[in-house]
Amino acid sequence: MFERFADSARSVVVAAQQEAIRVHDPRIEASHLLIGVAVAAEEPLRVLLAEEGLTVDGLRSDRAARTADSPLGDEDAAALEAIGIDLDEVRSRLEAAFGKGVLDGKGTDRRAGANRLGHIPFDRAAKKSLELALREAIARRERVIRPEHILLGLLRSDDPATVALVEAHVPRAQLRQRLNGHLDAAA
Amino acid sequence: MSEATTLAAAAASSDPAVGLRAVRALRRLLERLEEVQVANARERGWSWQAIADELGVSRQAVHQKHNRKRR
Repeated sequence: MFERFADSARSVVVAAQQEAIRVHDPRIEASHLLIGVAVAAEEPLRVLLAEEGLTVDGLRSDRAARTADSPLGDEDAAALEAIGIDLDEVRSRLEAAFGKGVLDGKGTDRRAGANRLGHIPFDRAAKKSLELALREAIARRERVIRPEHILLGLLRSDDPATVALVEAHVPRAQLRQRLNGHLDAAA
Repeated sequence: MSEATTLAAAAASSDPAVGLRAVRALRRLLERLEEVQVANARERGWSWQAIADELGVSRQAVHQKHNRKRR
């Protein structure tokens, strides 16, 4: 299905895969694609996304905060310190008993499935989003799929994690409208 | 503890944003801790029932949450 993808859209998929690897997820999820769009977006789209509050760093930290088993970061450490828990101390005691990185890694079993260098599979919502991206392009009578279409597909997909990440900043309908306007202008 | 950090801590304790953030961080820490401890218990041959008893939850709950084979 990638024949009709523009280079920039392929970059989105590659960035999504790298994102999944980065956070040690066994599959490429729709929310990784969303981050992939932000990573791979070139100038006009990047500005549009930033104006709507969708930045790579912001999406990453929002996503991490919503994912219960992402590594605990500095913000968590600070929050825990405020109630008298020293995360570094907890970490060092656990590492003494269970080995280094025990608090940051996920279950090793879960990770073993994804071969780290080759490609990781898309999950169902991600696959559906890419199909919807294709449909968005067809509906707009555009032959090539661009990152904007992928984002439109993601907005249509109703994947709860992705919708939450977007709607924390901008209503879906509004973003959709801006993207369509943006594509109209580019056409 | 310096005066500044004491003040900061005192101010933090009544700020809902800080307090709620602490709850969220604690929840995440709890999840990680549970994962580590359950995995360790399984590696040492503990049954799901024995783990559930120690955690004070039902066997089904702990099995459903931690059994990796379901994925």
